[in-house]
Amino acid sequence: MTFGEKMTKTILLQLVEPGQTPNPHTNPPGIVVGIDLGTTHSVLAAVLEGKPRVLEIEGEGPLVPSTLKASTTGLKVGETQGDILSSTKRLMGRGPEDPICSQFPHLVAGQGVRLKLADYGLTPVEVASHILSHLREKAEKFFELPVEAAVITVPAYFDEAARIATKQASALAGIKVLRLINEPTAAALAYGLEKGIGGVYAVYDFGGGTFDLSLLKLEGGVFQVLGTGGDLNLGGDDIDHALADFLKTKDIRRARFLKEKLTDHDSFDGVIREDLEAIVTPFITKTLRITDEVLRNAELTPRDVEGVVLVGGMTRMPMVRREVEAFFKKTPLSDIDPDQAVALGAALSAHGLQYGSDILLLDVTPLSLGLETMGGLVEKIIPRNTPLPALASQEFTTYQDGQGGMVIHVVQGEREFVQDCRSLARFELKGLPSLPAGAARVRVDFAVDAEGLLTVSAFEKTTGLFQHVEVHPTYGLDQKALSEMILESQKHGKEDILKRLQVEEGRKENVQPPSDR
Amino acid sequence: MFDPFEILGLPRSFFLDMKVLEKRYFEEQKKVHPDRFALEESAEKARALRSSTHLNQAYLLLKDPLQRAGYLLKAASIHPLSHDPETLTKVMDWNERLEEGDNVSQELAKEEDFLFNELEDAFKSNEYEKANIALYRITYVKKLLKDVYAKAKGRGAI
Amino acid sequence: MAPVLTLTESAALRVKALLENRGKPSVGIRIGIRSKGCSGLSYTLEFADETGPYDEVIEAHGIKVLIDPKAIMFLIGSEMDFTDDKLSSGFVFKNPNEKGKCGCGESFHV
Repeated sequence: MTFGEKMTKTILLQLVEPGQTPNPHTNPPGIVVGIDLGTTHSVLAAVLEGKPRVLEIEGEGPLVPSTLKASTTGLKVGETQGDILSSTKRLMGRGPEDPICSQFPHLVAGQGVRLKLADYGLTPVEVASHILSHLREKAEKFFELPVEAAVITVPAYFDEAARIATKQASALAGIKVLRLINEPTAAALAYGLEKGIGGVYAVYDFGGGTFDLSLLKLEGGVFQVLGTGGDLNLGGDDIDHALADFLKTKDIRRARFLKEKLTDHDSFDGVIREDLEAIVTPFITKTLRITDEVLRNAELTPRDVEGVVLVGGMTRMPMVRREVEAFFKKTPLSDIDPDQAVALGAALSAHGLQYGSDILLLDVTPLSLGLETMGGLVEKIIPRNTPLPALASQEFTTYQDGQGGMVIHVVQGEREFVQDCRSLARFELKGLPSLPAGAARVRVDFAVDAEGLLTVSAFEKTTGLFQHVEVHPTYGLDQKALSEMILESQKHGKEDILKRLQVEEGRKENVQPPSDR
Repeated sequence: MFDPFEILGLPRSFFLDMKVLEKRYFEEQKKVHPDRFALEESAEKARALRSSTHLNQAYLLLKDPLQRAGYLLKAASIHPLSHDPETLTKVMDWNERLEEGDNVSQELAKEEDFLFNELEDAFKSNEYEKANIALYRITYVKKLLKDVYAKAKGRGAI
Repeated sequence: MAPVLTLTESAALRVKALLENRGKPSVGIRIGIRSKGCSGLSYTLEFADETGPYDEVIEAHGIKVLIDPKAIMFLIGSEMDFTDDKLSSGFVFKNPNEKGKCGCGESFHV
């Protein structure tokens, strides 16, 4: 039996243990879709007659540019000419101090991360929600049915803040997220179910904004992630910028155009492929260094890898294929379109979650989660590549007599010092009992769910003092602003309210204090 | 009490076939993983999350021979060794040589193998005190190996 | 009078296999109905560890099928089938009392 048959089957009534009959769904089933919300373009897919398919409607191809343009009738998604916002996925969950911001001329100084487009002031979350709304409408036009829910993909290496920002964008677009899944896992799912591959596979995902390398074991319907690594600032966009620098131009779109042309031309418009390859070489070297490290951490060698799956637009470049092949000494697989594999996998996952399936995804934490301790050092609580869902605890004590509170600073990253890691949340456990230094016992629990979302709770053992914090991104919308926006958008028509909010919110500061909630 | 062997339905033993462990782990996750309850009420989901988390913890513990040994010793009420002069002398010696720039990694790897065999033998003959000492020593050797690797990485040799 | 419920050959074979694989002895299987689901009512199909005092007991192809007394009037004349093809897999009730069904076949109304 192949994976494909099992996954796409509708599961009817099953014989189960006494009392274990699952609840039937209570609403008529709408449609479920998979969405690859990409840096340069987004792809919508759904399972049709048992097969995952990328959806196309009249006047729009399979790949929808992840762009936003202002027009007299409002904001338009998918335009490629004129004054457009593009690649804003790279800003998801980022703060204004992030170096990546220098790549965005639309960014308004002193307003958090907010982009100015005509009269609109938009956060990256809002831009993403426009793109998602557009895809939802596209699906509804295709099926003439409402979208019930979706699986949305994110880079495996996306941190907590970026994942939450993605969920917020979905909520704002009126899409129920069945689950976020990692892009390489989605691609593996598409290959596993459609092509029936099995064993240990590497997914080399080199896209417009990010690079991810994931190792997965495919066995008996289980997709177990063995390890993952990547770089959020390593994508085709960076190559466009490097090429533009080389050509001494500020026209990034022209650089991208030349890069794409040189994929199947040895020279174009006076630029030769060798020039491009010289620019690309250090980027590829970086991806292979990450690949080597992920293999090493999983205690595997390229020889243990059954095959390599290529995903992302950058893998169209002949040089990338050549280098990956040389590294693994295997011809990489690309029989599924590298621009579509992720969306197809997301569609399969959505279908499985909605209608039941025999397939199981076991993912891991891409980055270590920890706490700040004395001297600005990081104590890792959940190391990277821990299988999800995960739970870990650590006990801390006071360092002063009668210390009444303890600041709990949650960070994410691999480095030793807090300043080099990503700050996720900071809260204070107040009202500790008056005890000599070292006598109070504070237990901090980290719980990460199957999607990779973290909850932290702190607990003082002698008094039973308890605090529970869901980690919210330091940059993004805070929970209150988000729920207000959603409430509003439900009260009024979604479309006009979104437009109104963009104008109103555009003038307000958006950066939130790092959660004293 | 948290019993990883019981959670995975495996006989309580140091000797564990990794293939069997994985098979049991996958089978159990297929039953309890939160994705199986994507459409259920939140109570079901919370329960699934808990069971699935425990299963992961049990799997990770059993997969690692040192953690597995540690668990079995703890379950047999053997207290972890806190002091062993012989080990400490050896470790200090290695540390010195490491600082002087000696390449001790092969020697350490050999020692690790030797100690691991000791650990296995001790469990085979149910000599828990002996296992406890071997476990203590391996922990040190492992840490040293990590330092060696970190140093080599710092030099750019890896 | 028509029997409350009949089993097709394939349903019986499947149930037998599942009973054997269950790993503990069973009295048979129990069929019930509850008022949940998008079309109002839905079937339950579970292994039975014991016979309830008011259960309707039928024997089909050597399998003991217990029917929840509350379900009898909704089930009379039904046939339980098992399908396993490319598109779907599971047990299906062909119930003459059903007036409508939801798209997924999980629930129905009478």
